[in-house]
Amino acid sequence: MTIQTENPLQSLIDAHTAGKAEPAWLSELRADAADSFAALGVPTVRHEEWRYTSLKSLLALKLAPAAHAAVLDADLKPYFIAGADDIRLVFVNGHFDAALSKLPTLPQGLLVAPLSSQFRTDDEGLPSKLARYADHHAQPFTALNMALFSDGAYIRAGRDAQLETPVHVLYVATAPQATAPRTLLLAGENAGLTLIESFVGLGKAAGFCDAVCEIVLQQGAHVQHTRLLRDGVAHHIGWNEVRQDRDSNYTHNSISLQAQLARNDVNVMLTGEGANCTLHGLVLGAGSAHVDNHIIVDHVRPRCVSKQLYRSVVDERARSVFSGKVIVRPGAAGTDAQQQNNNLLLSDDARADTKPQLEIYCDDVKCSHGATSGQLDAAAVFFLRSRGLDVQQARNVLTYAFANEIIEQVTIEPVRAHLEDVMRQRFHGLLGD
Amino acid sequence: MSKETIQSLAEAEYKHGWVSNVDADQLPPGLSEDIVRAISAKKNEPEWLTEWRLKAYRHWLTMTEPEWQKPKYPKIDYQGIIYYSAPKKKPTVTSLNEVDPELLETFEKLGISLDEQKRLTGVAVDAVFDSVSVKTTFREELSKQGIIFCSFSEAVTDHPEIVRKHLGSVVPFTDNYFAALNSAVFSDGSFCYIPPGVRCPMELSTYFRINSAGTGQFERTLLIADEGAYVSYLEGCTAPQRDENQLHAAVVELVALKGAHIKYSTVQNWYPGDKDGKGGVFNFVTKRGLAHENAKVSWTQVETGSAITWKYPSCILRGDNSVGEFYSVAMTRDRQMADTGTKMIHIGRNTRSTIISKGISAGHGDQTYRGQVKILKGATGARNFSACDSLLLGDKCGAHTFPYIESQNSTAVIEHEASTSKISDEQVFFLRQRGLSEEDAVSMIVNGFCKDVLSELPMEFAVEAQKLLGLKLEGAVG
Repeated sequence: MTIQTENPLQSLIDAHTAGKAEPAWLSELRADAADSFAALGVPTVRHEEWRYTSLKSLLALKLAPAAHAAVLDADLKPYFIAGADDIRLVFVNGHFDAALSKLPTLPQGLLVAPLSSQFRTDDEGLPSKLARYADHHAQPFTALNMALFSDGAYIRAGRDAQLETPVHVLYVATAPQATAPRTLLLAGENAGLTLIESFVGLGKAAGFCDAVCEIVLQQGAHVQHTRLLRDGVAHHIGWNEVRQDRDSNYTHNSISLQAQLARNDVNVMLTGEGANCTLHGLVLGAGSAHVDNHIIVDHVRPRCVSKQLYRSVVDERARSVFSGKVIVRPGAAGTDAQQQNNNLLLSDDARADTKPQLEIYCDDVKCSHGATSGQLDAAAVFFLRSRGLDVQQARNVLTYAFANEIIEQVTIEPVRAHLEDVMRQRFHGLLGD
Repeated sequence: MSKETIQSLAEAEYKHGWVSNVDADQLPPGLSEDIVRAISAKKNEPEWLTEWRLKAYRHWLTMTEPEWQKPKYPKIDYQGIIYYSAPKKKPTVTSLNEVDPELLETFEKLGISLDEQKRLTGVAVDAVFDSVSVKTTFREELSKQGIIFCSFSEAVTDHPEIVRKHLGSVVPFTDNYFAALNSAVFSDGSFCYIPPGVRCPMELSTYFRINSAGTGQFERTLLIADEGAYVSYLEGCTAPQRDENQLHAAVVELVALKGAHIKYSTVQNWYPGDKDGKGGVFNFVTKRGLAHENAKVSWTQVETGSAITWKYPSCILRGDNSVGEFYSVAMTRDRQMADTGTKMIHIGRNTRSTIISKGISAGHGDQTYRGQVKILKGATGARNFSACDSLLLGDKCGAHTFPYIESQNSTAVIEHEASTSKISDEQVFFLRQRGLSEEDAVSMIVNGFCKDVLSELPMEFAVEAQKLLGLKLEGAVG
């Protein structure tokens, strides 16, 4: 990995670690992560995994360490999801805000809390779980997160525990700061959980959010995970590390609605036989947005099924990147892996780069991938115009239809309805409302 | 498919392994400015070419060996390679009778008897034997049409203005590590020029062999099709059995001027090393074609040999309406590795490209398709279609697909699809039930799998390629 000679992010760590009263295990973890961040450095486009995404604009930012700020309920209103907000954790600039959050009493076996509240009390062994899955020795931004993070959501479901209500975690930034939220979700045997993560920037917050999410599914567990990059997300780097044991089921929906520079990593390891994972992604890019979706699905054990469907719509000078890799390890017989990426370019200055990859070391597999890149079908636009729509309306209807195929995959009804609303606003006045 | 079938498939012997003892005139091993000068002097090259080689050499010194590729190999000792070796008795011949009989026998063994080809098929062969062209047939016939088909060194002497204009114009010596090395030390190669509007009346062909022990082969091919010309060029290779790894770093440059059409076909069957991966040729080649307005560059390759095949025959579609094609079959077995694919760079408007890649992996074979489709901003109306399929025989082999698709133009339409599978037991069962042996069944399925590519080869080659695949699958009767 190429090491930057000057690394402005390094100074954030120094400022952050000073004068913290924390349990020893956490301080050790932080120090270790800080060391590995210093060693790894910030990757440049010469690094294969970052060849389409330059971090120059990030390094040019003047960032302050995250600090408390007051946020009004009304400011966050547009980001609450009606019907899926009964359990809500709000973090403002990385700090838990109890006033904005809703934490009802949960049935036995379930825990939803800020991580910080569990540092000392959790007897189930948070020290042995936190930062044990996402490897901060290999990923510089996972290391940076560990070194910088102050709080995040902790969701745990014991054996057979089912939580029907989605857990909505809102990470809010108010100023050009560097925040490092972290989510840890542990689903026990046959447990069922639904997690929604929203990332929001309020005002003109040209900040940097370095998020990490670790999700562990034990045998037969079900987790639905929806990740929304909302308004005002300036620089976002998110790493999602998922471990799936036997017969578990994981669904991931990643929706990037507006981001200046976003990089979403999803790293799924199918470590148990018959695990099933479904990943969906949508990128709506305009202006000079740059969204990079980076996926690795690692089929370690036999008979796992994985499916990836990512779509991007890029307008103006926006750019989208998709890099999806399926690895089939020796012995992972009966693997069924599909990968699909479709890109819609709406302007001549837009750009879409895609890199769907298969790395297969086993013969008894069914693997395929497909990628397309193109513009709206002229015949379809003409058809709609012949029915009385103007050009812009026709284009919007078709674009909406293209993007909506991903929204339709969101199975949590309130979230889907909410996203459809957001989409309608985006393609304003075109759908008869 | 049974274990034995796979086993025997993977173990069939290399059929072209022998060494012919032709006295060679060699330079000492090692690489330095002096060696580069010596190579140039031995070939009586003009000043400008010596300078060009030296510039390439100096640039090479500043470069580092790439390591992003999938196949890893032991470090090459560039000072241990003999960079120049020429058969001592350089014959100047007008008929086959005057050629060293041992040489002729070698070709006979390869099944490419010049004599027979000359008589029966009308294929002109420029036989390259350890870097120096010893025989060129049909030259007179071609020259009547104004076609120049000769060895690279002859071209430098006889047509310096054309060579100077185009040498390095498609693959500059700064391009990559191995292209720089080749530019510094290339020994010989083929040169071809088709004048405007001429349709080359026969398939041009050249056979490469690597012979003297420890000789790296650094071929350089330059092919220019002037406006509206057409040429189909064949390249085929076999190499004798050796324990030492041999480096082959060739450069092929194709220039298709306005409206020209170049079809370049390769069948490669170099020594792949033994079944434990000892020895074998490193085939690190830079091949690229430049297509001007309305021109077409078409690559077809059947890669069955070499310990490591690492090449990306590419097309730069500079002119409007130009077309690029890439058809490939790659087969790896034992410990063979291949990292191959193409680059299609769309610069002009309405440029089109097609990529069809078929990979077959058996034993411990490991192969990678790596391809880039790049649509630049000005490439309005560009169109690409890519399909990469892999077939796995056995549970120890690997197949990987790494496409890079970059679109900067909204009117461009790009499609890519890939699949990986094995030969299903049902397919084999069906054919066996119809009376075919297991070996024939597998061979038939593999041939069917590769049909889209094989059908792109010129007739003479298609037969050879099919035989080659069959040969590679030989021993399949369990």
